Amino acid sequence: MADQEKREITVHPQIPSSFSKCPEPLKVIDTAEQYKLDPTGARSRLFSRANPERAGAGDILLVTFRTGEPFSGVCLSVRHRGPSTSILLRNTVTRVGTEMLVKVFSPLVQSIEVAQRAVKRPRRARLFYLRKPEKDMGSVQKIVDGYVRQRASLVGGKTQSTGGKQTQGKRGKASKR
Amino acid sequence: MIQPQSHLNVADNSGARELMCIRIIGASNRRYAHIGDIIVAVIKEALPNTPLERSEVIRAVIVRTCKELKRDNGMIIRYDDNAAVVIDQEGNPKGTRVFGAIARELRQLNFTKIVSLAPEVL
Repeated sequence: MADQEKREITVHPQIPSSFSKCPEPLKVIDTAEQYKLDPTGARSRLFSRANPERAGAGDILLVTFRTGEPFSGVCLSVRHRGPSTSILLRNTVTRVGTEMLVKVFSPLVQSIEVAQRAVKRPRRARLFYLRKPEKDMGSVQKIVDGYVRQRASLVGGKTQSTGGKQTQGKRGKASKR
Repeated sequence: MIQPQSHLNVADNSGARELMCIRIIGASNRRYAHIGDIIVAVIKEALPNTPLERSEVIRAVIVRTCKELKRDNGMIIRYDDNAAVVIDQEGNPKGTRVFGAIARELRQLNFTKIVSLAPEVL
């Protein structure tokens, strides 16, 4: 064994890590994507956690789609996930409770407006208790119609339809909150 | 998520009030029916003096479900009740009116008559 030469062990240099260049690549992609979907940043601001005037759970929101059809309802929750941020709206449409989850930055969404702020700041981030029959706010169509009329009088334009042909919410507890 | 033994409301004026699913059509090995699927159902409750009677076997198309309906554009829609519209073998509704909001998916599935009768299509 003594005649065996001492072997040279090649030690390769460590491959330089790209971590310091970009610690959070997904965040960069998300920001770029969000900028592409919302160049003005108006909608990001409407749901940004940094904005004290942000729209959130308990507010009555009116979403208008590119096709022109609107959907309005009480915001049960806001799912903050960068470009795939979504809001869950609940309303009583023709006596049937309906919930719709809308992607905030979807190109199909033309506008999101706050028809009415929550009267009292809710203590929870997700108001799933509004699904219970005794807590249900019923149809918020009247409030949204009032908001659209007020907006039209301020702008001086025509009143556009908000979808509610019949406002039959029998459990109309909207004014209670 | 409608499966045999599920009870559904009736969203039309055919005379039936409550249905019980007994079979999902066109699904030999499928567990649940969703919006737009045709089911075979039994009438559990019917209004008096209407052509449909209790314990009659009929076909119906599901128009609303409590289970969320996911759309390709990322939207999700769900209703507070499970409801169906009674139809005949050709897919035409037996009633003359449809109550409550229904999903737009029915239009693509050639239930245009039901969609046009509906007061609200979401």
